[in-house]
Amino acid sequence: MQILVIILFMLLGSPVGAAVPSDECLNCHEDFKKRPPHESIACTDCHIGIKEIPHEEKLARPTCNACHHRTVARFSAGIHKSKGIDCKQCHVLHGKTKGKGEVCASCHPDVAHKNLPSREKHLATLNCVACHGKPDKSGITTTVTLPKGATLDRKIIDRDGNGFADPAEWHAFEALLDQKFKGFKLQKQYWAYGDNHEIMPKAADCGECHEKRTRFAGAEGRINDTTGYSIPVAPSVFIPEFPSLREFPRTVHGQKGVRCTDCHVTKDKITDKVCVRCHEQVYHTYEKSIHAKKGATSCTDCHNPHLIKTYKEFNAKERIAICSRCHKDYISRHEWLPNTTLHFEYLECTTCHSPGSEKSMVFFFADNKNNKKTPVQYEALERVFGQNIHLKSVINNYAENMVKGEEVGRFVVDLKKKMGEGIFVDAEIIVTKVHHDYSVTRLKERNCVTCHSPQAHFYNSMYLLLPEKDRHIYVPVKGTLLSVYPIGMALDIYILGEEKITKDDVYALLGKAPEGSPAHAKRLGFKLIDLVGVILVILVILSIMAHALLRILVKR
Amino acid sequence: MKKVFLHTLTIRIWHWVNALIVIALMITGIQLRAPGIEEFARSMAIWIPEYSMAVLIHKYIGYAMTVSFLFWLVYIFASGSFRTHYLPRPADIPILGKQAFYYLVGVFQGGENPFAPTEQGKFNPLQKIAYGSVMLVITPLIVVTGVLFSDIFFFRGLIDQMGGVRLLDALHVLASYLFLLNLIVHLYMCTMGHHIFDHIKAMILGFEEMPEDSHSHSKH
Repeated sequence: MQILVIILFMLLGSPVGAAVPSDECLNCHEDFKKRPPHESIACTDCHIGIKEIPHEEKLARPTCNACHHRTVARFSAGIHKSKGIDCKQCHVLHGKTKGKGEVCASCHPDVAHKNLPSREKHLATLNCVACHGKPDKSGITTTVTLPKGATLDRKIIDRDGNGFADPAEWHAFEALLDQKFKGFKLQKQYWAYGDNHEIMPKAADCGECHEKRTRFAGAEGRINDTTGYSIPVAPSVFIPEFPSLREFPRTVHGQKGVRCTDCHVTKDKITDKVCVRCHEQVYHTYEKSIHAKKGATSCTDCHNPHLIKTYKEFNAKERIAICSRCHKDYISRHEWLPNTTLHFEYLECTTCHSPGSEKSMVFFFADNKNNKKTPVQYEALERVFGQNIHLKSVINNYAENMVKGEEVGRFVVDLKKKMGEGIFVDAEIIVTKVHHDYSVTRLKERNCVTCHSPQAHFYNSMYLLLPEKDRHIYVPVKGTLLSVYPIGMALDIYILGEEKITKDDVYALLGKAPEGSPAHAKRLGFKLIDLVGVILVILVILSIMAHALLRILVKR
Repeated sequence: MKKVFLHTLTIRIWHWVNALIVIALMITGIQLRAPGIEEFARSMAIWIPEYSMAVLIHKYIGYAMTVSFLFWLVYIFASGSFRTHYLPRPADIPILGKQAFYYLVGVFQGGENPFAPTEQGKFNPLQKIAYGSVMLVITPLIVVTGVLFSDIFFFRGLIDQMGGVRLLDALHVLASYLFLLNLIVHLYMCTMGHHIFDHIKAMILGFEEMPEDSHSHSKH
């Protein structure tokens, strides 16, 4: 094929009708006999204006444009042209060997890239064009090669079946790889194809990849198993998103008046020294813990200082997502816990692993649509109640800094009418006052009754989480939200331990209850089943024993 | 003495398999209801599964119970056993009092059991009530609530409609206590044959030996 093309090219390109054949030129210009880059064309194709030999001494300058017009156009738009560089400076036109021109590094060796954050990471993964050129195509390809013979169903990655792996799905998949496919290989490739001729005067700024995604806008996961397939992945999995300058004032730090340069004192990565200036107490608690020594050594390993949400506003799932970046196997490590995944819908890691922290039962309004629960957002509430709504004053009329169980009950009934039958009160048991020591692992206390009992610590600290414009507020809840409701209202809060009878209940029934035994019995509700059941069992056994004894006595 | 054939091989095998299932469910069930037992058993150096293991055992043996119950249900209706042995009849009513009197008083006076099991009817009216309620009310209730419990996620819609997990829990436990009460009585009553092990032998061999004259009583 190649030969055919060359022959065709020579037939068309050879100076059939030209005045001077190349052979005649080469009689004098012997050096150019071998000129691999341009061997297939005649001398007069470039050196135009020669009609006879000997030719005039001054000839017009050959232009590359005639053949390479597209490349020349791109080159002219770039910085190299404006710096006075022409084709010849990089390309050997009559060279003895076939070369592709100079590479960037031949003129720019050891570029320091001093201003580039995460310099090593960027330089190891990207080519020059990725930032300095105008790539025609760019993307991220992550190739996962499974051990021989392994098969991985597409549904395991794309759990909701929408043909796209969102960050949560991909992270869960990576965790699964660690557990189930030992010996797998994961290779990330950030590729950018562009024309090296078109180099921009200024490199692309961070935002092009990390915010606007004008480059590396797509990512693909390629799975090499027995079948082999690929699936589109959210690019934010592989290139983290940055807050833009425009958004920074809305971030937690931005709102408190922290400026960029308060933290970014040098061009290096931020160290804990920066954080400790404000977060001194938390830092010193954490510093001494095993977690700090062994695992996440710096604050930013867990905390992203550019977040718009405060940590307190994170729900259980979002909190788990932070821990599970390292502790990917958290599900399999908790298999001893019955209904593992169910528990993790309502708890975060530090609910158990930070004994010094204060845990609370945090209630929030959620919508149950097509069996998918989503917290009710402020925007949705604004549509119903009007702009700048403060839910707390709607729920509690007395401007107290708390809400009562009954008030919330009334409000939910109202909200159901306004926003649909799917509205309900959801709850999570999460840390509300943090003690920054997470060293406690392998808890001995694998006892269900720690939480599943009326004595559980979080019953003393209950909050209602209310969405406000740009933030969430915690309002203390007075009284219990669980028992005052018809069951359908708090349909997802099941803490069965409440149904078990305790010693105190029995004593209370025996006449020591302040409100009197009958009233106490009424309050016990389902708990009475055990009491009555056990008493009946004992009575039946006693009567059988009496019956048997009599039979023996009368020898029947 | 004559041999009265009472229990088919199928029912005998089912009975003993079901007995094992019930024992396992009772033991794990008690542990699930009263987790404190675990610590107590450990202190007495008695082996007891870990709580999570008890949950699993209870769940999977519960599935076995479901299969066992469905098998029994199909069997007694398909074999006609339900009509023959379980269905209460008007003729049962007058014997009710006599039967209760026998258990409470007569047995000590050396009286004769007013009812003798035959192939045409192996349960006396009291037994019909007891077995009927255990097998057709209590057990189905335990099985259905138990199956719903086996996957709260999957059955969430149904559970919420019937009033939530709390009610489900209450029903399951309530039915289990009733089952346990019946089981205790059942275990004692099986010693009430002519000889103490007669009924147990019958459940193993299929027939019970009875004096010839007692046959006439069964005509009541």
